[in-house]
Amino acid sequence: MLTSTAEQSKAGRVAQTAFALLGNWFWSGLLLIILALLVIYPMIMLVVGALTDMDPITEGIDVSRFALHHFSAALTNPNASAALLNSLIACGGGAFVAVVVGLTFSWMVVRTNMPGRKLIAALSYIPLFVPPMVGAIAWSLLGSPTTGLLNTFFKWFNLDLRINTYSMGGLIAVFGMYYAPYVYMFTASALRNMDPTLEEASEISGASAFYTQLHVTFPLILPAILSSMLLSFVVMLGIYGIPSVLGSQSGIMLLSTYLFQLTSWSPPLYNAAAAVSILMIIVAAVLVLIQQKVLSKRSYITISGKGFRPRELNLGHWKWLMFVLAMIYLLVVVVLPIGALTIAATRKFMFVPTMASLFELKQYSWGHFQTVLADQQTIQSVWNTLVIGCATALVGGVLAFAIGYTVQRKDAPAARVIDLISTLPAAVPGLIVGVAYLWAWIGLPIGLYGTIWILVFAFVGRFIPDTVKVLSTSLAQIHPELKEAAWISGKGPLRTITTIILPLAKPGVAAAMTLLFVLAIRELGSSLFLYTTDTMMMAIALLNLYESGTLGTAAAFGLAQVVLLGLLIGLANRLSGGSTNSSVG
Amino acid sequence: MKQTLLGSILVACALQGVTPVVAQTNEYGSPELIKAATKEGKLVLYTTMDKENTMRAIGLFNKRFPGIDVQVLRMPGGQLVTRVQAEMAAGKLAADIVSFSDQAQVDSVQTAFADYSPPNASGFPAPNAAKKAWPLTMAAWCIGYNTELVKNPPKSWAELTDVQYKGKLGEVTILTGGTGWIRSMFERETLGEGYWAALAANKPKIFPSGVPLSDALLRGEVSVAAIITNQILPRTKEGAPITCNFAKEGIPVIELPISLVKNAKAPNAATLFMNWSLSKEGQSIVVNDWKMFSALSGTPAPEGFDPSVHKIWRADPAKTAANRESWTKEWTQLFNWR
Repeated sequence: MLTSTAEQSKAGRVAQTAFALLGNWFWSGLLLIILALLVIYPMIMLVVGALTDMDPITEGIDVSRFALHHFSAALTNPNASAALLNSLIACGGGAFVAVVVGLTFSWMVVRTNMPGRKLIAALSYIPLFVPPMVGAIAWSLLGSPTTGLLNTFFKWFNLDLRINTYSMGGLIAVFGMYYAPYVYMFTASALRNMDPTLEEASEISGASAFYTQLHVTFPLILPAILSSMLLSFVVMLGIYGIPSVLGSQSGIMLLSTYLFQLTSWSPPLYNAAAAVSILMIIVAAVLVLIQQKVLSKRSYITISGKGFRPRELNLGHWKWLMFVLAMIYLLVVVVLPIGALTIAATRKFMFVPTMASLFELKQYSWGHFQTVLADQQTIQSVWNTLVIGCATALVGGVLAFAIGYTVQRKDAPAARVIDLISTLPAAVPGLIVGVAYLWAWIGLPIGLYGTIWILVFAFVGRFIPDTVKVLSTSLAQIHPELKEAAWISGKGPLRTITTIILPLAKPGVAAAMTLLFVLAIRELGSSLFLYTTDTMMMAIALLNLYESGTLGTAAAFGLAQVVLLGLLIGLANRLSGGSTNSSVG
Repeated sequence: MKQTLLGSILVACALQGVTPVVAQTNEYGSPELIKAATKEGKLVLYTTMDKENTMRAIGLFNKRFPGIDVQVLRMPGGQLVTRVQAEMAAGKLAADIVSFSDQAQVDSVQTAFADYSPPNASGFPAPNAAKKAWPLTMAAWCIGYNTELVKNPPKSWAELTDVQYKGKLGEVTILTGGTGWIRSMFERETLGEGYWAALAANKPKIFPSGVPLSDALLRGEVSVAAIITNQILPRTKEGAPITCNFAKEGIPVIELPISLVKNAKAPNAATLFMNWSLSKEGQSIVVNDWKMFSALSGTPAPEGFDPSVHKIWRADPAKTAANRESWTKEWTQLFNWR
């Protein structure tokens, strides 16, 4: 009898374990299927597109028509190699400028006694509200070599100074300006979380404050600097707005604009585009790998449980110089572009031959704003953006939580594979996500193309790495003992998640969802190939106004977008309880 | 000429104002069609025409037929055809009407379109056999310039190769569609085989279509450019410092077709919009507001065109078919585009 009870309970335990194992496998399997659909399948379509001779849109994919010549053609085409070289220079330079600007400001705000730090910290995020295309239009108005407002201003003062944003230097500067906040975010939190005892030790050993900053502080946050530099580089590779506005004027083609030209014009050269895309992914993947290698080799764990305030460096009189520098930055990044957009949006015709003509009041009207307001489709795009932003945040937030939780639990089957797949999209520039999704889903009779969902899934897939990263930090802080305690007290896995894990991870989930919302509502690159008249978002509506309407209406809508994005990001941040400070500001 | 034209427009407008309702319904469609179209309430138009002029026409359409929302997706023809192909492949062509920039584009996606004839079909030259496309308007190339920057504007295409315009020219890509092709073909056939190379030596800025080029002329980013009348003259009328001249060697002209989608979601609204666009009223907007030519017989030419001085140039379809691919490739290589 006893034996049979023992056997029964053993059998029960085995059944329970088997059931749990089955459940675990089912869970991991489900995640793998979702990731395969969101990430792997579109990428496979891209590779197959590059390796065959078929038109993936109208003919579908036929693997039997294998061809390698698209790669050799892409590598030998002088326009393609020029675009590759230009991209490396523009995005590399842009990432470098972003680091110089972002790091300087994070250091000044976090580690010095510069006046007005809070204000500067808040204002440093403003470029995030400015979609890249809007920034580019503004800098085209300001820095065109022939008609730029700044050049007209210099001429007026007889200054022998001219700027030219239709140049490689211009591209680098504008990229750098608008991506500096990314570097700021990364490095500010690293500077804030650094254990000050290391610096104290250095100073006790007789080193000067500046020597310590240079030889102790900066090396300690080097991983954050490198990560942010490489990530901004990859993001810049996929940006379409800036090179399309500034580069095209002087014939500087970047990979993103080149790719758009290959696929959007008739006859579309899809296979060549796929080959160029693969090359772009390889460039990005190598960089992401380097970044991970750098991070894994040199561990700089300075975050401890101890509460401490970062040390502040007394700049003395220099603090005013720094303050002036900060004000110049704000003038260049915020005041001048918004001013230029306002002029273009309110001026009947954007012809400003002299500074005097800028002050002729009869040249101004609200006409462009009225045109934008009367355009049903543009107004609809605002609503679409909100809906798609919310849906992306929701779907992506849930998926990222599921991935983050599974990867954290090392015992989950295939956790490493799930982890690996979910980091892959980091190496895929935005524009290519759009191409891959178009090919992957247009031919299937499930009706995804033409709906908002293809955009939502593309954004979710594209931003998985960013979202999981934000979430995993907060998940890592939940001690496994809590889960075990829940199980011991008889709670099932689902109830453990809903009653223990989710409430604890709430700030992280909120931050991840807000980040997704912000990234989705600004996105242009990956939506270029996926939108229809019904699903047009603000970024596309702006591009259409710029390319098919007039500069005045584009400026008016661009300005409205900056205000709208500011409000939305503020609102999202407030709703998530300010938990996004570490992610999006 | 101007007075006669103005007079005829005034008379036309006055007549439309007093036209009885019955006559109107005959002109644009049956009362049943109008009722059904109003019930549908919405249609999607894919077009290569610039958005400003398109919205202007839609505003007038809505004055006559309120409650029919016309949504517009505007792209250069070379991009639009790619989008239509992609949407057709997905079985999700969102457009009810497509207005391309040449017949070849229509032909490449012909199965998408319905057989259609407007009520005033007899007023147009015979359409292509399958009645898949009708000439919405005719695009004509002129030499556009910024009046503040160019005091002695060029009067001939040949002058554009003059070194004084080096770095000051704008040019629309040949890939933009029928309009870009027709201009390039004219240049090569009429101005000589060396014209492209001479023009390329002047380093023109290349634009995807005439719309951004028009803005560039207005801003003074470029001073002179070959451009289509509708992208410049309506803005001249509004007071912008840009205008254009018809060149003495000839005016390349091409018909811009408009087609009704076969499985349109809003077939009645689309048919009504097509009928109205091709009607006398629609075509008078083409001439008076867009400043373009109309293929409808009896419609006057746009202001500034004098048939005794200006020569219209049209492409030979056989030559187009034979040369388009190779010449396009040559052009893109010469101007380093794509």
